[in-house]
Amino acid sequence: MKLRARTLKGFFVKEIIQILRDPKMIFAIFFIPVMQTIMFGLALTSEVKNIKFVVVSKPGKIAQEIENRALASGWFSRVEGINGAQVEDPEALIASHRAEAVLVAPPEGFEKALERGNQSIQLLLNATNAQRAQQVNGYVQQIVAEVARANGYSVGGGLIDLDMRVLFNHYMDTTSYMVPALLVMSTFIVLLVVGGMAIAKEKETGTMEKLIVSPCSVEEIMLGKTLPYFVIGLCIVGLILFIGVAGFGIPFRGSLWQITVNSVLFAVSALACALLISTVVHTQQQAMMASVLYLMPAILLSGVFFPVANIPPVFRWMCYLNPMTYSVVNFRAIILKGGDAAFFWQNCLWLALISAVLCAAAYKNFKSKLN
Amino acid sequence: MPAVRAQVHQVSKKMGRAQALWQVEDVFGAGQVHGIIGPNGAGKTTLIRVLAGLLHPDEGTVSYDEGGTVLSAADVKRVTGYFPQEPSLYPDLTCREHLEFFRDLYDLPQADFERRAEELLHATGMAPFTDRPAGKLSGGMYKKLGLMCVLLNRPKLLLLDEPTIGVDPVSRQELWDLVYGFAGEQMTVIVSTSYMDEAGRCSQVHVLSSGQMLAAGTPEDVMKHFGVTDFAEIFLNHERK
Repeated sequence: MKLRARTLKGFFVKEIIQILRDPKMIFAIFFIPVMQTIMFGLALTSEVKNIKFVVVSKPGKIAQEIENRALASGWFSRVEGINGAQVEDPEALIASHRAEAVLVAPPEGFEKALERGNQSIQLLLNATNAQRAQQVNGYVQQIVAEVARANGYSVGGGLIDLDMRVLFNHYMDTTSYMVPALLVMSTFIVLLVVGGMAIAKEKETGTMEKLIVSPCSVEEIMLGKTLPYFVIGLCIVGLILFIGVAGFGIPFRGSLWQITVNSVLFAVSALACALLISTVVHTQQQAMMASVLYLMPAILLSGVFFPVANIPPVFRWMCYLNPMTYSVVNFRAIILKGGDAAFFWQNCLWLALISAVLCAAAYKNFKSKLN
Repeated sequence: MPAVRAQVHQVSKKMGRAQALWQVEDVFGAGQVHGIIGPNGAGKTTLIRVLAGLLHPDEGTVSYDEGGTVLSAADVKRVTGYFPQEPSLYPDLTCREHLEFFRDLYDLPQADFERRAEELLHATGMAPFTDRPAGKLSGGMYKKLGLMCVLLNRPKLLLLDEPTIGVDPVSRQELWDLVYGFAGEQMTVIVSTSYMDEAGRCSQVHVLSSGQMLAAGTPEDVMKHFGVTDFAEIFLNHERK
């Protein structure tokens, strides 16, 4: 293996000059991660809000309290122009999309129903989005139980009264949960797409031949082409972390060295994937398409959006082979929980193992293709 | 340090379905300018790429020696310069940045680099254009820059694949002058061309047609061998047969 610092420096300078002179590259490298962070941080939230809510009941203290409490929670909103006491057909409200949740008291009113305990209170939900409907159901039940308890009724008849405490993300804020995953996702996307295209570009334009016949070694070409993107990857992690902490006020409870160790490992795995893709494609367009084909399942099976535990066992093994999976759980643990050492090193170990296998495969393929 | 001699022994190579080279046997003596001539599709590019180590022959061997010492593959890479038919450069890098990148690839000492770069820029007349990006150079200048990048390493075996194709007559003359200026005892030049008038400029001519080496020798000997007065006639007669 031949590695000369001078040659690597030459590659580094050349790549950086090329990136700085190409506005499209700067856009892809810095603008896309920043946009993604802002979009996911601000716009895309899985919290259920703005639920149009109607309480159908003859006027009464409980009905009024339920409505007040619901509106005060911030999750529900009032449907203008509807008086709960005068609604004839509650289902029509849901069908016409005027309301999303309608709580219907028995004809005698909530008080009687709660007194007797055997009379049911009806909740009508628009469940076209099942996940959202489940959450709304939870909210409404909680509010009804609270109001009943405050007025001295015993509800549910259950023996266990749950006292729930939320740890690490007190306000169950989606941004705090998403930004650590975005660090991984955005960086991985940029490294795979831009890194892969940079190598494919040398092949497409024929400059790769010049490098092959020059006295530099396969290792120098491989490292020379990936090292600049490795540094860029670490810069992107820093940039997104800065936006998350300074812009969105997410808590940062862990240490920077843990972030750095994990970032180094997953940047290596991303660039190894980019190298592997570049060995099977000939043009930048093919590299782009192959990256997208790889990225779609890799992101979905990484725990960024859906917890890995929810994925059926038939597919779950793919999550465990995915380098993003370990980085996502690690970053969430480092940033939100302060990074438990044993958990951190366990994930790093798996990530290092996968990166090593990917690097070995990329090296072998790259070498045999060049020769 | 003497130039490199290359020997091709019974080399055959298929490119897809076509037999690009068929049992080619040839010697490219050290310190001479060799012209591989032949019509389009004769196998010239394949032969140059086999000599550059970019293609491995299906059969046969290629060996290189320097003053009688056989060179290893790594040594060959160190002393060979290859100029492809479409010299690929980085359009966004300037001439000087190209030279500096190749300086780092060849690991040249700074003093040597300064001297050689100066010499090459002077010889090519490219000195006023050092800050111009390669993508904004004219066709002739683009080729000159490609050649400068190859010559910066002072190769002992220079392989040029149709260097003058698509270039105006003045630039063609300049490129040949440049090659001749650097060829000599220190450098063996192997150049492929489909311009028959260029064959006369070479000290040795190798006639390739349909993947077979028909003859090799000085231009006069080759013409005498075929009984013709013009190289084009060789291929016209061969086609008729």
